[in-house]
Amino acid sequence: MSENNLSYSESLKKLEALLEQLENGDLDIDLLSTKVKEATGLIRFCKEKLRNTEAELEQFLDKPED
Amino acid sequence: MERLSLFELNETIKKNLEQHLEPSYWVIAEIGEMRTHSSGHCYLELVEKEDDKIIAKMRATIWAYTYRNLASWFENITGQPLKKGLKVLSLITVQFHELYGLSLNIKDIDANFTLGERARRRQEVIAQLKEDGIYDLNQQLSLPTVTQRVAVISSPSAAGFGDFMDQLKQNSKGYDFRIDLFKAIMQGENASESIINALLAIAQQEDAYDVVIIIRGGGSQIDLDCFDNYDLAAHVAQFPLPVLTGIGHDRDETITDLVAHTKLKTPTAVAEFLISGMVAFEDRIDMIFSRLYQLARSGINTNDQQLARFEHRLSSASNRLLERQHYHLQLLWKQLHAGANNGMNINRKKIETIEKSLELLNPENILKRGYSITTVNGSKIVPEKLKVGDNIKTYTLDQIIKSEVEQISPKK
Repeated sequence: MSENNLSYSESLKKLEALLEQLENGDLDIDLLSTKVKEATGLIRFCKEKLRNTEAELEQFLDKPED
Repeated sequence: MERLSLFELNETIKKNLEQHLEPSYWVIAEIGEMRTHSSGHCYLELVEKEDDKIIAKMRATIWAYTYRNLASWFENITGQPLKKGLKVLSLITVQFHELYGLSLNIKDIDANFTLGERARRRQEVIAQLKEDGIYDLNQQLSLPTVTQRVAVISSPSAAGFGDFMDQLKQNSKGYDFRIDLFKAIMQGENASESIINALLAIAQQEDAYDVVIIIRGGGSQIDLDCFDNYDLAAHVAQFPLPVLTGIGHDRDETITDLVAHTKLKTPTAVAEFLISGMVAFEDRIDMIFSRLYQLARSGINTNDQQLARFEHRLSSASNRLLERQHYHLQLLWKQLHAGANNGMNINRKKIETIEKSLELLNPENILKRGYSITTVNGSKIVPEKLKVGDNIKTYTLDQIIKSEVEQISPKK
C-alpha cells in the first residue's frame, strides 16, 4: 500500500486533497478509478489506525470503576 | 524575767493565736506537695511563689471525712484531681499544737477559683504563643493530598489507639496506611515531656511521614493539663509536619488542639478524617479518569465521523464524475444520430431532385408532350454533316416516320 509510511494526519491531508480534486470535477476519467482506489485505501488505513488506537485506549482506560 | 518551760511557751503561743486570729481565712496558695495517708487523711504543703521562688510555706491537712467529699467534688467541677502544682483558694483554720507545732487545716476549697485560675493560665499560654509568632504555624502547613505515612504519638495500651487502628484497618475501600507508633506517656506530670520527646524522634525522620497524630485513649476525662503546657504547644505549633489531634475529651479544646493543624474529637474521628481524605482523592482521580475516557472517546468519534464524511464525499464525487461522463456520451450519441439523419435527408432530397430532372429529360416524356426526335442514319443529327437527300427517321410517341431531306436552310 502506498500509504504505508504515512501518519494518520498525513493520510487525512492526502485524502482531503484527493477529494477536492474529485469534487472539482476536473479529473480525467482514465484516472478516476485509480484515484478512488487510492482514496478508499487511505480511508481504510485511517479507520484501521483509529480502531487500533481505540483498542489501545480501551485497554488502559476502559475501567473507570474498579 | 519569768522562766517558762517549752510546753508553757507553746501553750502561750497557742492561746495568743486563738485570741488574735479569726476562726478561719480564705487563703490563696499553691499545692507544693501532697500525699494521702492510708487513714484517708491528706497531708499537703502549701506554698506561695514569686518568680518561681518560694516566699512562703506551711504544712496543711485535710481530714479524711472532709477530703473524701472535697476531692470528688473538686474533680467533678474542674475535671482534674487535687494535685501538686494547682493553685487553690481554701478555707483555712490555723492550728497550733504544743507537740506538732503550727499547721493549717483545710475545711473547704473553692473549685471555681481553680477553674478561673486555669482559664487565666491558658490565656497566658495562648498569648505567649501568639507573641512568639508561632501560634498558627502548624495550621499554615498544607496537608498532603494523600496521608498514607502516619506517625502516631500515643500510649500503646490506650483504648483510643486501638480504636484508631481498628478504624483504619477496617476502612471499606481497603486503603493501606503505614502506621508507626511513637510511644509516649499520655497523662500525668511527665506527659508533656514524653510527648515532646516523641515529636523530636519523629522530626529526626520527618521525610518518612506525611502527618503526625496525637491520640489519647477515651475513658477518663481528667488530667488534660499536660496538653495546655506551653512547651508542648510550642513544639506542636512549630512542627514541620501537620499535626492532627484526637485527644478525646468533651471539655473545651486544649491548647495543643488549638495550635494543631486539625483538631478532631476522638481517635476514631482522626482515622475517619484520614480515610475521607483518601476517598476524596480517589474520587478526584476517578473523575479525571472518566473525563480522560470521555475525551478520548469523543476524539475517536470525531475522527470516525470525519472518515464517514470523507467516504460519502468520495463516493458522491466519483459518482458525479461518472454521471457527467455518461451524460456527455449520451449527448454525443444523440448528436451523432441527429447528424446521421440529417445527412441522409439531404442526400435523399438530392436524389429526388435528380430523379425529377431525369424524368424531365426522359425522351419518352418529351414525346408525350408532342415533341419528336429525329435521327439520321440512326444517330443524332450533326448539322454540319447533314446534307440534302439524307434519309432521316422521325420518332413520335407512337409512330416512326421515314423521310428524305429536301432542303437545309439556317434559321433566321
